[in-house]
Amino acid sequence: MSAPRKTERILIAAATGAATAIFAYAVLRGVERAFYMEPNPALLIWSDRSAFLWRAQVALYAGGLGAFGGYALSGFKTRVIWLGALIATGTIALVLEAVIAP
Amino acid sequence: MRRAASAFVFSAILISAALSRAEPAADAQQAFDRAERAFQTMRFAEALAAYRDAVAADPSARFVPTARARAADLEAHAEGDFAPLTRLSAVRRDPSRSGDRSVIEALALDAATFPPGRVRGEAELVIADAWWHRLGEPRRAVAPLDAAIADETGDRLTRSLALGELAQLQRELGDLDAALAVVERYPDLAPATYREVRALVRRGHLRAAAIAVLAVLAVIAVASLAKAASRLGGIRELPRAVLPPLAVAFSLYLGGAAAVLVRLRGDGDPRPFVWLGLGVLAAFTVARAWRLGWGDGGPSARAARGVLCAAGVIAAAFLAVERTDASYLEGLGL
Amino acid sequence: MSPAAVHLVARAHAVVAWVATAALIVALPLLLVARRRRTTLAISAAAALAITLTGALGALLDAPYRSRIRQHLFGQSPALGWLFERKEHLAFGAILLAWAALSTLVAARISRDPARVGDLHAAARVAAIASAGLALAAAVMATIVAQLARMAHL
Repeated sequence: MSAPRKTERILIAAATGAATAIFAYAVLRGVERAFYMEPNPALLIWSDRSAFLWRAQVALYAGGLGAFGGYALSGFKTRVIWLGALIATGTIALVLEAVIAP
Repeated sequence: MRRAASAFVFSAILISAALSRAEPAADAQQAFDRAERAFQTMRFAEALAAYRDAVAADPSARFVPTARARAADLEAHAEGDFAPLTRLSAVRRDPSRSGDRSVIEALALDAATFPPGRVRGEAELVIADAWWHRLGEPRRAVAPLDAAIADETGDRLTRSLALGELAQLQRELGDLDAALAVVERYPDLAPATYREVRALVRRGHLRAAAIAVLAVLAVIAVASLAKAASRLGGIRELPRAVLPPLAVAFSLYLGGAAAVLVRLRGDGDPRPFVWLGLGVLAAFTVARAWRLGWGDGGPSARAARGVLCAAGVIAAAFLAVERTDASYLEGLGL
Repeated sequence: MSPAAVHLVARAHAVVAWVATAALIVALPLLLVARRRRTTLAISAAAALAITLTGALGALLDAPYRSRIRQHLFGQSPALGWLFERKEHLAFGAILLAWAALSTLVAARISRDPARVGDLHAAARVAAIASAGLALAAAVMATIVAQLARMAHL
């Protein structure tokens, strides 16, 4: 098996980052719901910060870290079966989070 | 004629009833004013009696809550027929006297002879405050604070305040062990101070461990870099060999992007993240130099290298947070 | 943002969201059947761009949503409020998965290793199916909330 080119590695890293960000988003929201008390949305008149946008930013940051991992992993002369599995795991985590802990 | 006489009698009854109601109110006001004047001039026994009179004369008067509170406070400070309170108030009410060394020394001598009760502890607090803040001799504040805490006849609030002050003072004097000793002697008196000092001591131990780990890594790094330079045939080849671009980019991203995020959020300190990024870069460099200098080694050598470098990252992260914004550690229970 | 501007952006957000969802769904059969075709790549790229634009418009609407709608929505019906929150989570996933699908598709296109091409195509399919599914679910949820909120004059 040949070693992937740099562009290919960067693209694999981007996909890894996206999947990691989704997974991180689901975990962050799950942790928020499980361990932090949130004000009742029906009573909360105004919040100066968007919890959703902040969570999305932190998840994207985690995705960036995952992208570095993806880049490093893609350097090995091996197959990338893990990428599809990672994407599926992230998606399942997000769907479970949306259903159980919105 | 008879009608006029009855009207006169009825009016007289009404007026006398009104006057009889006005008399207690006026008496109460007079007693309250007398009490306030006596309180101002430190005639505390007289003030206490007058406050009681004011309350008894007209329990519905608007100043009754104040009179009751003052009376209760005076009753609680009545030991020695108010002599200790008079002595303490003479210093406490005059800011120029509480900054006078001879006055404070004299008060300290008198406080030692005060009978048991609240005033004694409060006097010790005033003395400690003067030595620490006004006279600039913090070490002389230790004994009066100790005395205020140990005085079991004193008010609990005063004792817990003294405990917090003493712990703070010992911290300022750089003697964390003494601060721990005092809060451990009275763990129930000021639980928040107890937890805070314990956390500080724990952080001190962790800091020492982190510095030790980083020192070991630094020694390994210097030795490894020297060996790697000789292996590579010169020091010029070192940067390229020990600092792979991916590691540099990762470290910059780890610290830089997190710092930007914290800045965007607006309420956090980005410095720990910058230091974390630099710490991770340093750990990468050590690991790389170690491998280049001494070879890859067997599985145990690789594991040891990994464990030590991971410990280095954790140590750098801890120091980064502890040295810049320790409030992050509270969130982690440290 | 003025109420008129919010209304305009909300309209654009809804239209672009449905266009992006349609593009993601259209790209699916092409991706499942054909390999290395330019059309698949072009539609995937268009879909990724469109869904990202949807996300950007949604981010613009976040502050007005928090200040003017969220409390009333939850007050009217907590179920409706939570449905909208769910939609936000799924939309976030749909955007990133669209880019993951595009990245893996391009990577498969330039890869010289047949085994890796197969793995990358499999990953692209997973990402594209997931992205289309999440985008469709989010669009349907948003439409339901919008209709019910309009009926309740929110």
